Amino acid sequence: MDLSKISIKLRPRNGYAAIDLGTRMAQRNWRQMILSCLIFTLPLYLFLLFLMPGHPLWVAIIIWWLKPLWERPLLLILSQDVFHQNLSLSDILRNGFKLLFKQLIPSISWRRFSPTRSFDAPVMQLENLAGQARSERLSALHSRSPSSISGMTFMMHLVEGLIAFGIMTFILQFIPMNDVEWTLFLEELFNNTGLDLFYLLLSIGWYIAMLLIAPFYVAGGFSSYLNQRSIREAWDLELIFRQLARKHKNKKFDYQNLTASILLCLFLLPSPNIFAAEPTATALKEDAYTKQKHSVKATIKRIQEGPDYKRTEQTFEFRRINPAESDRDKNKEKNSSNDPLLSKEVAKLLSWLFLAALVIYLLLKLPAIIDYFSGNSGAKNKTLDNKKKPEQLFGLDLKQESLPDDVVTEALNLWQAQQAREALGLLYRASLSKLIHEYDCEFEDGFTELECYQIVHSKNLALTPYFEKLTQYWRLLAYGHQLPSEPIFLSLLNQWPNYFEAEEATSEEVDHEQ
Amino acid sequence: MNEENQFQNPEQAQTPDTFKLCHDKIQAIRQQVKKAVIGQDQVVDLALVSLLAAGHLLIEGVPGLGKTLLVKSIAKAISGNFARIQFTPDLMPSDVTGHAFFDQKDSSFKIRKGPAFTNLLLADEINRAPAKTQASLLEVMQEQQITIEGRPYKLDKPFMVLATQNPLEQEGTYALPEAELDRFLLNATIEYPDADSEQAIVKMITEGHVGDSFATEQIEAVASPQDILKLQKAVTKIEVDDSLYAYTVRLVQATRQWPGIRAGAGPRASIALIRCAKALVLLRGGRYVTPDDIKQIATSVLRHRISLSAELEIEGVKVTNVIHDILEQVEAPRN
Repeated sequence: MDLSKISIKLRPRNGYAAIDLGTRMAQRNWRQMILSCLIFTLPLYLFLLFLMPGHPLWVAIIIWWLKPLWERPLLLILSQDVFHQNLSLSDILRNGFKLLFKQLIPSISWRRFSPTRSFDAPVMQLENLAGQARSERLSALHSRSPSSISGMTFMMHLVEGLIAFGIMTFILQFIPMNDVEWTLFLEELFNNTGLDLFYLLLSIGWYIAMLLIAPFYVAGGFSSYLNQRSIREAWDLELIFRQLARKHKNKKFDYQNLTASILLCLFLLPSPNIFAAEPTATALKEDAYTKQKHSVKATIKRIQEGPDYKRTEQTFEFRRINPAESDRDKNKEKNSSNDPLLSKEVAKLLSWLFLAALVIYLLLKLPAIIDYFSGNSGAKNKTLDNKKKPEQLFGLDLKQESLPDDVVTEALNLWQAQQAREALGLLYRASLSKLIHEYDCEFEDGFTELECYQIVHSKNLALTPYFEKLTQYWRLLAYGHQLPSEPIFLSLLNQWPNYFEAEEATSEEVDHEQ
Repeated sequence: MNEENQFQNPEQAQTPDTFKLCHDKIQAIRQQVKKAVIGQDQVVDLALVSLLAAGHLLIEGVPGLGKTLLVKSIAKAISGNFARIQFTPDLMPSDVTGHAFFDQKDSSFKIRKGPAFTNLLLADEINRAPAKTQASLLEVMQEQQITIEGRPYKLDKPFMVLATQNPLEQEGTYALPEAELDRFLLNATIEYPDADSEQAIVKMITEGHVGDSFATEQIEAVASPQDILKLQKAVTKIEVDDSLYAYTVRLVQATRQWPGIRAGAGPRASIALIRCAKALVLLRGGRYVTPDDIKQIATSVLRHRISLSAELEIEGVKVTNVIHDILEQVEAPRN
């Protein structure tokens, strides 16, 4: 590594200034870095999407998980750019593939979730350190606070999420959902391919967001790494010394001046009185020199007292402190008001609280996430088979578990107990439940009894005339407040098993045969 | 409207009663009106619902589709009075309500009643008149009385206004404010008749008639204004389950919270929904309101009471589409 060839200005920076430098580096190499990302990820993304068309989110998660691998070519580009070396595409491909397998398992397992991943990557990739040596090296580099790196990781995740959802929403905005032809086309497309529009868009959005963010994330970590090394190893001073040494080394010996000096001395030696001849002039020169010296000192003093030399810089870091001193420090903190450190602490605390809340929320949502990834993602497609069955309609509990084992006996008991409304209600509720769960009737929340009947009618089921009669008497009771006569009720009750329980028995028989 | 074909109420069919008589009377009026107004069954039914519910009807549609004929026919069938006001930009409020004038013969002020003193009033192209004149009519609709020179005059009952409104895209129209639109019980859109209906209209007008206007001579007076008042009374007796009141309120409240709706319907809409559903039930020959009646009438009741956000309007979404979504998604009544 020849520091004299380095392309960035080496000086000690605070954490966020170093990340700013990284942003500039990423901007300079953005095109090459994005191209590299695409080369290493797009084929994999498309291949995985082809393999798992029903799980587009899984595909994005796999790409996300493998980030430490496909970020390595980006670091390679940056590390070469820092020394004014531009890599060709073939160089990136050749070296990039070699880098992919370096410390593969640790990188995608326990090191995957390190908040300082981009900062640590150069130690492994550029310094070729592994095991204990790597740990010691990282420990040394982390000794000054790496909080800015963790903060950057956190922020980059947020921005990545925002971009992903933004892209998804943006695409959704441009799909003319009100256009029937478009809706039919999309339905046909997604039914044929098994893709899920929402999750596919989310997956694409996330993938694009990863591509956009990765160069900045890698560059931010790399520039912080350079900054830390620059501070710890005094690269800036080394560079100055090197420049001085080179300057000195390159300077040729001046024989002409030397000869002229010797000749001048020889010429002056025989007449020493020359110097004594003008004592007054020499004294005057010394006076002028002394005055000028004082004037220069005063100027320096004035400049040093000026605002340029009064600039203060605050740094934030963790330090092990003496417990005895801590109380004194605490007292100092109490006395000091509007301490910027305090606001930083509060901001930091809030960030951690937010992160903790996010984790808790995700944990709470875990069952739903597991449910989605357990292979039922097709349920998100609104197909008839997988659509969630309503559990309640018209205030009636339609869950099969909520029905009594013997609906007819229970309804008869209710009728005999002068609870006619409950009796007919049970019969109607049981019918709807059977229609939903066994006949795949699609009833929406807003459907009325008549609309439910029309759905049943459209299916040309054998029970349609019976359900029509049942619906009619239920409506008469529910809205007209007119009870059916006992013979009518008993007729409905006696016919009910013929249409619903017989069908159930038949379906069970079919199941057994299968 | 074909519900009675699907669900004949056996108990009702066996016991003819007041409701049955009312239904017969309404059907007789309906048949008479339909003799003249061909191919506009839905608008005819909405006009009758509005008449039975003692409300006012706002009809939207291009000119020449039989709006005047509709009002004339109803007036003839119920033996009522009919008046028509053509709203123009220079129409004054007194041209609607009437005014006092000084009679030099006996040196006293006399009242000249305006066209609003009638049973059925056709306010043609109401949105061509300025707001002041519109407001005078709307006050008549709400109060059912007219004050001239400080003296109130009760209007004859039944009183119904059928106002027509040109599409707002047309030039020279003044949009009715939301508060004024709310006064109309129902909003009907009149569409072009289908080919068969149009052919029947052409044949009827051109055979044995001079000119191109339809004569209402063949319409018989099958009811009187008193009959209409009795029918209006009968409407109030139609049974409504408590769950339907809750359903109605849920629907109307949904219009206030629905995304894409700038201004939802007010409580007057909930009242109108129940009133119209009751009238619709009587028109059909039922005795009690069902959720389907409310759903069927909801679009006409809510359409003019809802304003869409600019975003939806730009996207070309219609109010009826939004109401349809609301009806699909708001939970049906809970018993």
